[in-house]
Amino acid sequence: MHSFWKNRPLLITIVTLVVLFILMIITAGQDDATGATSLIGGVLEPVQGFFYDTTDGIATFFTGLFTPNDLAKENAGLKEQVADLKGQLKEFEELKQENTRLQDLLNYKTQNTQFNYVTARVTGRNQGQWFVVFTINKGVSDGIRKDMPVVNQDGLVGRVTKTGANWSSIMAIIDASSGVPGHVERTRDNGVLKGADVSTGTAQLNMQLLPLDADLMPGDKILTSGLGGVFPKGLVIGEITEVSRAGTDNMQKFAIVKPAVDFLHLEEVMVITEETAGEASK
Amino acid sequence: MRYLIMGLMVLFSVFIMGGVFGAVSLFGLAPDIMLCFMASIAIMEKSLSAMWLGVINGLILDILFSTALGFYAIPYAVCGSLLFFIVKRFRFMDNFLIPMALAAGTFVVKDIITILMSYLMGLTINPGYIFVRFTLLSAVETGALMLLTHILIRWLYKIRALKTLRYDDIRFKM
Repeated sequence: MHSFWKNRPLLITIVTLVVLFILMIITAGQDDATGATSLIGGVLEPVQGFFYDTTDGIATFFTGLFTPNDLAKENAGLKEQVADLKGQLKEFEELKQENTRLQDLLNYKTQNTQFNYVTARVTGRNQGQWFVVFTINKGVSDGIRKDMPVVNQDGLVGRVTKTGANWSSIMAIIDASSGVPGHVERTRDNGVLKGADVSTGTAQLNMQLLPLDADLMPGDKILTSGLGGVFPKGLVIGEITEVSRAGTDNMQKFAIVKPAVDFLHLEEVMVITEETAGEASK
Repeated sequence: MRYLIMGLMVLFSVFIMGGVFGAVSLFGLAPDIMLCFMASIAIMEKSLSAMWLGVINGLILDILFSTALGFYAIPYAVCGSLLFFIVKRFRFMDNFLIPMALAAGTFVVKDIITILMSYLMGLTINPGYIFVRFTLLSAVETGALMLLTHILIRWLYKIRALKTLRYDDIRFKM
């Protein structure tokens, strides 16, 4: 016992771990980043955004390079291009893609005027399989608050879980700890969509707590039901790909839902800051 | 100089892990560059500096991505202290194989702790699948990356950029 107290590194380690555990317990319920944490996030956000954008661009380039159709196009294009024009072309394509994405977002905005939005750029994403959380370049100073829903032109992305002055963290709906009340557009059967086991590496949702007589079929569109108050009614979540049974008695129904949003290539999102009309149009 | 370089290591690691690997991780696999830095520093110094480096890195990742401070920091703290206690007892240390094995091994430990913490936080995960599909392969990647980072860190100690007064007796075999 005496030697234990003399083992300074071990004591330091234990004290550090205890402090971190206490920190974790204290901060588990706090989602707003304030003071030092907000400042750290604010300082890191622009640089991280730069890294995210740059590597995303490189990834897109290589994806195109190894896709047969794109490869042929790319080869034909490369023959025609002189070296100094390649850079300009690349820049033009980036701008074109960005323009298309922003145009899609604008279309979404004009079609869904019942909400006020703040458009933001994705600046980072967590590494690993534990959470599906990403950061955006807008925060409290832009009117973003905790629990605000986040969408893009394809549908529901997630909700704001943490806010700093000029950045926010978004928990995607495919995160294992996320839950979204939703209903089947065709039959109005209600359920809760939970992020499927994140470790499978595929972005999918499990629709649970469905009525026993729920009439579901692959292809059915799933929308937010508005229950719970976090997500407004009528936002597109995804499409049923498989209907199955669960539970010990094999009597409970559940559905596997493919999200409408492509979570691997998220670049711009919109945070719904306010609902101007009483109810969603859908 | 020492703290500047360590600060840069943390920033580089956060940006690489949150920005680069967040955007282009191959099949969900990504090496942990911070563990490589930590293992290398632990080998060179036989001190708890690696643990502090990991804790700071983990806390920054927690601020950006986690729902509670500590989720990333605790595994790094455990790995940092584990590296210290292991390295302290090593009598023989080569330049490549043992450092690579240490980095890969601590990656496995870090992921096991993270799996346990995920359970505590109520996440639905399949630990067996994660371990085989992600942990083991990413550990191999981390071990391979350790080869490069260890050369860099050894060089930084050699030119005295990371040197501490306390460890004047560090031997170099480059």
